[in-house]
Amino acid sequence: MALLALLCGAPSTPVREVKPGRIVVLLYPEARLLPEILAVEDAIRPALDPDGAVSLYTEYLDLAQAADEQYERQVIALLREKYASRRVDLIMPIAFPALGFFLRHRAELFPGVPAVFAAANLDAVTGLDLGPDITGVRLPSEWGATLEAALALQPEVRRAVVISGTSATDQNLQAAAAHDLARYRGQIEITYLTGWPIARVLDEVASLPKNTIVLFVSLLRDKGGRLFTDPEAVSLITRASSVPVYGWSETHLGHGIVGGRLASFGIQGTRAAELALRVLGGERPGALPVVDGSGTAYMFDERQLRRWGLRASRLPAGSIVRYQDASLWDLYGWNIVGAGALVVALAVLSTGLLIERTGRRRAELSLGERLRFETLLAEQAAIFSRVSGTDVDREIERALRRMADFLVVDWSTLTEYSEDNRTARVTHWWTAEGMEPVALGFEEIPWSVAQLQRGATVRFTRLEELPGVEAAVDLQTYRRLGVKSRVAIPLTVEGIVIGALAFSAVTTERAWRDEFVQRLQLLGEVFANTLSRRRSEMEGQRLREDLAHIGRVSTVGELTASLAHELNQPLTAILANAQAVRRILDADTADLIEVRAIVDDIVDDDKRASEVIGRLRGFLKKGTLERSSLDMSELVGKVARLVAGDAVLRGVVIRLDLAPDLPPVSADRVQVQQVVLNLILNGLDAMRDSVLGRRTLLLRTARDGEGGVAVTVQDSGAGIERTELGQVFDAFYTTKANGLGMGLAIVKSIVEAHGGRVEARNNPADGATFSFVLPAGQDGP
Amino acid sequence: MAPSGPVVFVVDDDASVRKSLARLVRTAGYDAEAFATVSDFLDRPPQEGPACLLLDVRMPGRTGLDLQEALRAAGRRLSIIFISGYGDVRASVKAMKGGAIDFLTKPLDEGALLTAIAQAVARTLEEQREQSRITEVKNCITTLTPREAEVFALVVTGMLNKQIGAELGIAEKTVKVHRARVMEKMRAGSLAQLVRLAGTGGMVAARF
Repeated sequence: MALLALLCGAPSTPVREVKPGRIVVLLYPEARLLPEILAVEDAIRPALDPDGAVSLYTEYLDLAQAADEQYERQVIALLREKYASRRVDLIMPIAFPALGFFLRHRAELFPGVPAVFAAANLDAVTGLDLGPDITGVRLPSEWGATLEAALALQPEVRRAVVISGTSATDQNLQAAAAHDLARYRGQIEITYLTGWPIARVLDEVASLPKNTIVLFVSLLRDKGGRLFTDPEAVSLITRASSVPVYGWSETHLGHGIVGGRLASFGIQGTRAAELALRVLGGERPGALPVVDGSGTAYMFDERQLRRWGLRASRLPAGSIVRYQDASLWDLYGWNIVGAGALVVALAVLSTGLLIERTGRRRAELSLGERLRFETLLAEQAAIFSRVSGTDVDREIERALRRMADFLVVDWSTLTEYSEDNRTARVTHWWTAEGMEPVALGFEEIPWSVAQLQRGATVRFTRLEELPGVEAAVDLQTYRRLGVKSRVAIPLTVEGIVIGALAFSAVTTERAWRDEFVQRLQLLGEVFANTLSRRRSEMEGQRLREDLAHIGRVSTVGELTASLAHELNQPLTAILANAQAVRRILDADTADLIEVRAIVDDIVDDDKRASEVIGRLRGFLKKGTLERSSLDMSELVGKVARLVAGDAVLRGVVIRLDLAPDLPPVSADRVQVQQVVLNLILNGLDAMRDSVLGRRTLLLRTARDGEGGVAVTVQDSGAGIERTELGQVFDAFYTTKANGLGMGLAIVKSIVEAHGGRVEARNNPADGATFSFVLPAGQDGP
Repeated sequence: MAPSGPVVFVVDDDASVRKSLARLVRTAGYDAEAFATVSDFLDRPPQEGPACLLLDVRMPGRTGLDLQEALRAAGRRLSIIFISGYGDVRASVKAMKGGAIDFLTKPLDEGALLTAIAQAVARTLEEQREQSRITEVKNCITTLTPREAEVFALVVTGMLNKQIGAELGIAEKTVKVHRARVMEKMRAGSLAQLVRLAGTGGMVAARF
């Protein structure tokens, strides 16, 4: 040992003097990749080191742990060893605890090395002497601004509860907040929940009286030593809190805080990187003044404002309001009220019209006929005011049929315009026996659509009534389809045309009386409301799907942590190989055989990386199979019922062709249900853009030629690109914008785990057929 | 001791990583040898000449830190660069305290890796030179007769010949003869050099 010490201590003359590039050491206070640290890092790294000329070293000091002197000495020892033989050009302490550590140990660790700090809150730090070699960016406390904004939003507030934890960062920020809030002492009562265990904090905030607000400062570590990230702590507290919570960092927004004057760590990092570049460029840090309070803004969360009933009009000028997507509840709630009011209005109106009419000149219609019509309308209005969910479609179609019956027309359609008003979609239709439903594109009846879109009704008894020149295209279309008479009513919600209700007569000409048209307009309003409510329900559906997707992705996220490590190995090899090739190619005599071998290895490692991802798929089928004897026809039938509602919503007809006496299959019920469900959902998705009325999903069970049981799912969608037929079962292969590409991969894994096989092919006409075969037998393979 | 270029030993349980790192190191002008386990590496005879060790921290069986410990226990001088899948404060503190040159995380940055290798090789070489000097001095000391050794031990304390003679109970003239023999056997040109050699040799003596 002594010898080694002697030798190591001896001044050495290296064989090769390596002159390294600029060395910058980033000091982070925590050992964790907190969102704040990531934001700073994301800003500094590319700004400072765009071409790899600067070597950026990162040290995670882990000061969230108790201020243990022995630990700190260990860290110092490590850093001394590590940087003994390196000429460090610049130190960048991030956040005050790291700056404090640096200042305490600077003489020992990095004597004379200049420093540029970032995100350090110095508001409550006294007796700090930065000296001439240090500059940086201060993180401002804006609690005064936040408190004033909160009081403008909630003038009744008399008390603020301030939450902070026990880590060095927590304490620093808490002290800064206290410093900032001191001047409001007389105005409101301020209570500090400092260094409590998280459970007590949550208990406390759950029962705060109405005139209170919570100010979240920092909770990286609670009294019990539990570690949190700010978003975690913020989520816990905002979920528990009985009153609005305000924060100070952009990283808190979206996790339940109302908002506040929030700091951006990204901007902190960018400013610090600018200073760092100047110092590296030879400027003296002392000549660069400390940047003060950079990068804060009033930011608020629309959902939280709404949750607490706070008025956006009271926000400070220049506030940024995030998460402004209209909420499901708002839309839905409005429609419930809207539909109810309409029933009343309609009933009054109908009655009024009836009474009025008795005293007037008799119209062409008999009173009985008219009564029938009014009754029909009133009934429809009543039905639509209470109908919901999957019944909506059935009721709309029934209404269309009844109206068409009454009006003696051949087809009736309900068309919905896309939100940009550029395309139309027939959502419901009824046709007389033997007629095909026809969806008219905008380009086919441009004049009619233009009328409808500006809120005008289009009606004609004979084609000759249409303006020959302007409506030339429309005329052509109507002639082609044999339409003789037609009435189309715009559907409007709050003055916006969202679609049209149209009745067309093909067999005979049909006259449209004013009073009918008026009533139809009323019916149009009912439909418009229903449609808009349905839209919001679809929105809800989409929301549920998103949630399900997030659920799946987050499970995958858990896997990712362990897989990331495994992926790192092939990636390391790929990088090293690529760097080796580059060096070989740079040499004058490149050995192409060697290059070839290296590239082969790169390919192999890439495949290996893919296999790691493939294991993710394997993980999903992990666990032992719980086999039982299954009747596949029964199973498919049940799953089909499960998705019936979804299918209706998507305008898809599910047809079943289930063989009655199949041999039983020995398989895991839940997993096979998953397989069938995935295939059905895949089929439904595939028909998203198909013509309405041609969206059919055929589910079939049959004996397989080799004694197994085959299940096929045949859709009438777009089919599969021939070049992609081989890949559809691969993990992460997807044609959907938001698809993860795991559905069919899971299908394949499960079926193969059961000793079966899967197949995908295109149909002769349109769409694709997915099938799987499971071996029959009580005992399984 | 056949003259050869510096050798970089790569010890990593992952075959692709091992192979690719050895390859990268070779393209940078070093010889490279790769081993899948700590034991495989220890089975190889110790390398003479400049070398360093590129060592994975986490491996099944004996870890990189175990190897560091084993080398130290065996008195083998070989500078180590640790490589790890991810930053691990505890392991890196331990590795650096154990005298590692660097602690790098995968995937490896080419520049950082080659800089560390150059430093590690230089340090290994320096340590080995120092050691061979010690060995040499030790060998010289073994050629001394017991009497010469006694004279040697006293000469380097700064005693005059007369004092040494009195101390050992021999004539000053005899001391002079022994002293000349010591200078010759130790290949020392001057008293100062002899003192330095004695320092080196003394350390060795103290150690064994």
